[in-house]
Amino acid sequence: MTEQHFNRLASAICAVVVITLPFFTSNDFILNLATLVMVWAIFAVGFDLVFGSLGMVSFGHASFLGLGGYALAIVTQRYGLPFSAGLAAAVVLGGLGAWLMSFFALRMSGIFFALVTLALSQLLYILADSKLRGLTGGADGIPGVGRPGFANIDFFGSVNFYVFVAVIFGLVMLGSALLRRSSFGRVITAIQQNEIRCEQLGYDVHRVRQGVFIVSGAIGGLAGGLLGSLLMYVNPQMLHWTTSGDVIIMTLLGGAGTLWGPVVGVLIFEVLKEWMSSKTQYWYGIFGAIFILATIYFPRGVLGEIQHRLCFRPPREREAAMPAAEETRA
Amino acid sequence: MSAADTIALRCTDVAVQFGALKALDGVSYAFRRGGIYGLIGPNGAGKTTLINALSGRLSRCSGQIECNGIDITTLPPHRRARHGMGRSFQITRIFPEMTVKENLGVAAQVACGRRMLPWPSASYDRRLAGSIAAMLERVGLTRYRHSVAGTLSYGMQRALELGVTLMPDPSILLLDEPLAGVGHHEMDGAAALIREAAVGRTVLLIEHNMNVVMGLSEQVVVMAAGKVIADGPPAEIRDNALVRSVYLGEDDEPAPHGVAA
Repeated sequence: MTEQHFNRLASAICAVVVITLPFFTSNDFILNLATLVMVWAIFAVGFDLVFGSLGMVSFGHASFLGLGGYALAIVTQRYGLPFSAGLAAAVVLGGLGAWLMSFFALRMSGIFFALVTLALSQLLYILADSKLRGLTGGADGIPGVGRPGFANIDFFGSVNFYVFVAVIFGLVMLGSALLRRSSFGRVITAIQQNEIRCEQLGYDVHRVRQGVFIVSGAIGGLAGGLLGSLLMYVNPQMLHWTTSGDVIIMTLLGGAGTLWGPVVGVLIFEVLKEWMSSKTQYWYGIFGAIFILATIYFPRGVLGEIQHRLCFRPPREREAAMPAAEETRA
Repeated sequence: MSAADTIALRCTDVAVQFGALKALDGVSYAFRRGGIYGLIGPNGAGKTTLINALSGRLSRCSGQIECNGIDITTLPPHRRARHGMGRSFQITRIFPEMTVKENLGVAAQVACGRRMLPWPSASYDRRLAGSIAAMLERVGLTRYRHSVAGTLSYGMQRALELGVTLMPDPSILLLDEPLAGVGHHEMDGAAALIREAAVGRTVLLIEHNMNVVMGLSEQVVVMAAGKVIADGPPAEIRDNALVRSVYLGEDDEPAPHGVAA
């Protein structure tokens, strides 16, 4: 099985599950949970562009989620513009935030990149939490964030909003799948594997990174807008560094750098969270233990490990190639 | 005018300092277009530093570097690459987790005008396919095209790196010890590959294998302590007493500095 076959299989399974779920249940709790998973999955897939594909640990992606959420809330509530304008503002502001952050963060590499993104996102958190209270509502956040309204469909119903998010989720996954197989996607992978070789070939590595970072931020903004709309509420917690930490954990858990890994990671995280947090308030500690075990037994992430086992080109090929090589030399 | 036309690469008073160490101490040299230059010298002479300075890997570097008559002193590596400069490294720099074909594909995209599409395009890939197949044939890796690059033998990885470097068809080729670590039985093939790659290009070759350097180069440039101390055709350099004393290790030659003067 090649990686492409694996991705197609996973896409088909996911499509079937997402499409048939509303026919099996009209339970609000399950549909809302599924919608939440898709929203976070959009965020995680966007995050993984930087984390898995470029190989850079961003600790500031909460910024883009929060920017998107606040953009939607403020544009629709304060300025009374329609939902579509709010969601567009969320995407633009997420991308804009990433663009601004890239000027400081992309000068750094490794741990320093993580620290700069962390510092800048915490700065934004403090602004939203207290300094810009008039605009953001401070720690109380902004309640009553709207949902889309077109063609007289009631998007306050769980099923309709589920379908709305599912369509966007599908488009994001399609875009991500196409990007991976494109010439641009190949260069992104190449930069992660050997940055200097790419420079020496004539690729403007910095610009490629900046572009990817901006796209990642824009997708984060989109997810933030959808999250605000789903919860009908935004608060500074969306901007907090723990949100950045959660998305890293989700992506690692599912499998960074794979098409469906981040989605699986989000699914495991959210389902375990729902289940455990109803039993104990110490669920995060238990989840931490699960995460540690997962990194030991599934170092490539749960889906990453499965994909690796199924798709890895076995060294058989190499051994077969070696004697042949000797042969040609002789 | 005619002088500028025939000079591919000119460095004027290029100096690089690492702390107290003068890695390059005012190197001025003009590399003629189409020439094959062997760069030799003892360890720490500044050979790799010179190649790094030329290809833009060192930001703190004084002096001036001209490429085909254009001042490239302040340009970053990728901009220099677009002026026709290609290089290999002492440590093989390929994309280890990609297949051989994918490695060449990334390089072939550069030749395609670095136009990058964010979606797959069969017609785009078809345009690349021809040059990839030709390069696979050229570096002798056609049968390994689907192998993951990191699993190849060292000699084959070096051949792949040369292929990747040649893909954008650079007019200037900087090769930093392309044969280091290549097994004995692969040596002749690798040397032939370099000789073939050099055709129609200006080549700077750092190499410790004297037979190869003397055999390949038209001109040998000898460096020591950050300076160019001698240059000339291989036969002349072989007999140069100063060179023998600093590099070829024949210390029994009397008073090398006197001879040089």
